[in-house]
Amino acid sequence: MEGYGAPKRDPEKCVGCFACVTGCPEKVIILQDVKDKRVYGTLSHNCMYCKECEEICPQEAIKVVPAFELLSFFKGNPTEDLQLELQPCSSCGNYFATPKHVMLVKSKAEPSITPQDMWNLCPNCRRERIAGELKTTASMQASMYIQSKKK
Amino acid sequence: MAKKVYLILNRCLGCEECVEGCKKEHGGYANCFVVKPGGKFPTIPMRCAHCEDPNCIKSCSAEAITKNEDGIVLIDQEKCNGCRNCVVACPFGMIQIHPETNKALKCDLCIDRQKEGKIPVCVENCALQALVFGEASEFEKTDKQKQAAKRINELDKLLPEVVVAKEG
Repeated sequence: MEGYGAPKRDPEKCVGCFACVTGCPEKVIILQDVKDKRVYGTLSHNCMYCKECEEICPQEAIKVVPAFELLSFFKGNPTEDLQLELQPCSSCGNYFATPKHVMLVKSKAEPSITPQDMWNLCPNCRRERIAGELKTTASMQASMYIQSKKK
Repeated sequence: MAKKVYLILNRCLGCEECVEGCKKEHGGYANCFVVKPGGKFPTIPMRCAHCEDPNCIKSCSAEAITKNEDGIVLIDQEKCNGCRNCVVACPFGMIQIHPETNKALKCDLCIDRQKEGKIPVCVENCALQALVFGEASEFEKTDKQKQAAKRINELDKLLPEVVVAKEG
């Protein structure tokens, strides 16, 4: 078993971020969003057992454990490790992050500059929201300008 | 007050030249957007507001995001671990993920161009001068304009990048 392994995630600690996927030098960690689930998988036959993911994980949720399986090699598909629920955007309904991830970031963020309803929006809808508010201001300003010209 | 890119309302026509310029400057990926809310005019060009006290710096798990002495919020691509905390944290939705490196990308106010003494490419490309670069005090000259800009920014604290400039 020496030299064979795969990352194992603690379902309590893992928030569903992409740090391990980005940090893996061999790109063996595959993360897919399937409908309302975020699925972590490993191409175990390519894992070098380097423990880079263990180091990079901000939540310290990963432990690389000895494991040996060739299913991912034969099927060409990653072996599933963990499934996490995703949260839909309250405006467009696209799934964008896990509720745990949002909660974690929310606890770190400055509450005075972030409106509460923003947390349930995806980045696209956040842009739309801000642009919509600016648009209202713009039309207000334009009508004020027209009125001042009429007088 | 540091220099920023400001938007003058009611000037943008949505030609997206700022986005095109940004794409060329930043290797194929634009860090700014032109949003057309509800599919109707006026269009609103948007980019990172380089907030005073940004959520992205606070939420970053790798301490890769910093604010430099000019007030520009920058992401260190070497340090970034791709956790996407900043994407969730940004109230404007201005941070994107590079599809190849999986790391966070955002507006750097064309810091390389600024070192050469040039202005950001989105401002240079804006034919209608809806985007302007400088300090807020440069554009708000009269008391009336100052009051109007103050009122807009008080109405919504999320819009720190709007100035009211003289019409015409």
